Amino acid sequence: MLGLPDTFLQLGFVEDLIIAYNWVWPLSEVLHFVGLILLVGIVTIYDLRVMGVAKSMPVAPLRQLLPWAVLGLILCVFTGLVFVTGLWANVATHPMQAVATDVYLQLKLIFIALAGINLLVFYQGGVSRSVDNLAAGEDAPPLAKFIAATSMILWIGVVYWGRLIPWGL
Amino acid sequence: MGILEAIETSGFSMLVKQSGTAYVAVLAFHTIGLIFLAGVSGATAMRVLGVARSMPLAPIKEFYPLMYAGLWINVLTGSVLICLYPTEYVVDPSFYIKIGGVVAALTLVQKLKNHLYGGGEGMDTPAGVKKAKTLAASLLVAWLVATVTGRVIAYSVTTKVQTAIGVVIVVILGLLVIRFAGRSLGLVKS
Repeated sequence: MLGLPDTFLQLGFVEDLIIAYNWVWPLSEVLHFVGLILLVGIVTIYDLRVMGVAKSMPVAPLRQLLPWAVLGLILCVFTGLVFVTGLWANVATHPMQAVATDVYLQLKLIFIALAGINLLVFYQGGVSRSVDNLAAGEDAPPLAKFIAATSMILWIGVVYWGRLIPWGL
Repeated sequence: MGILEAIETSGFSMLVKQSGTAYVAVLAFHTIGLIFLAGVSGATAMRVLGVARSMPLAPIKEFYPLMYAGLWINVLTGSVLICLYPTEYVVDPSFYIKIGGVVAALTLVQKLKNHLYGGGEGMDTPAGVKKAKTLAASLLVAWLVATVTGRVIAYSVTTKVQTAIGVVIVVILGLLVIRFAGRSLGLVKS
């Protein structure tokens, strides 16, 4: 794929750890789930508020939960890298081969990329400034609501496609 | 044929197992339900424990419909999943630990809800704060137990125990990081 060897994303020391210690892969799975609960759970709460649910919640204090969503993202990225770089040790499939053939992995990665672009539009496009200091009872502008709805759908999609990855290998 | 075998080989169970789409969709929605359920109740617990202190408690209750949606998604998908391999689950101790964790978590969610919003002491008195924090911390532990045991059901006993020990170590390390560096990382604000 892309002229890269199948072993491109493989890391020997990760594979060795997974083979040597049975708990590495399941521990990574558990932490991936915890990361998802933090990331998608908190982002969904924030997105729902921007969309107009729970309007009595002012947005500025709610934003204090977002660093925990970032922590969740970091957990997911770290454990996700364990899965990718150590894939051969668990299911004897090269990671590049998985990316090339597993349609669920492809969809998950596409949804993550779209969620990232959506986030960029929210912050870099200045939409976040219209939302940051919404007081209790105030409504967000329509564009912010659209971005929030898109965010929620994309992150739920990431969870959905991600859960299906083993069946696409 | 016992009732469990009958359920496992029933038309419904075989239909789901043989339909690649249905089986994986049930699994995926079970995860999504968990995220809604543990996400909203976990956020409430985190607020009680001191995260996002300026976030008012009362409006959090307005997110509870999302939490209940997650609960019903998980009751439905969990029921389907149990029907697929009941003979395996009934002899697996980790299945009972998971269900125990879920029951404990749901009980604690209700107790915390009643304490905060249902005429209980709430966070207005030192005793009320202490009770709320105990409920909140217990709730997070219960969800962690349910999540870990749910994830490791498919593994050997040795791997399950080792993974659980690994989770405990990671949680302790995480709590230490939050305790000593939480403010500078933006995870805890005054």
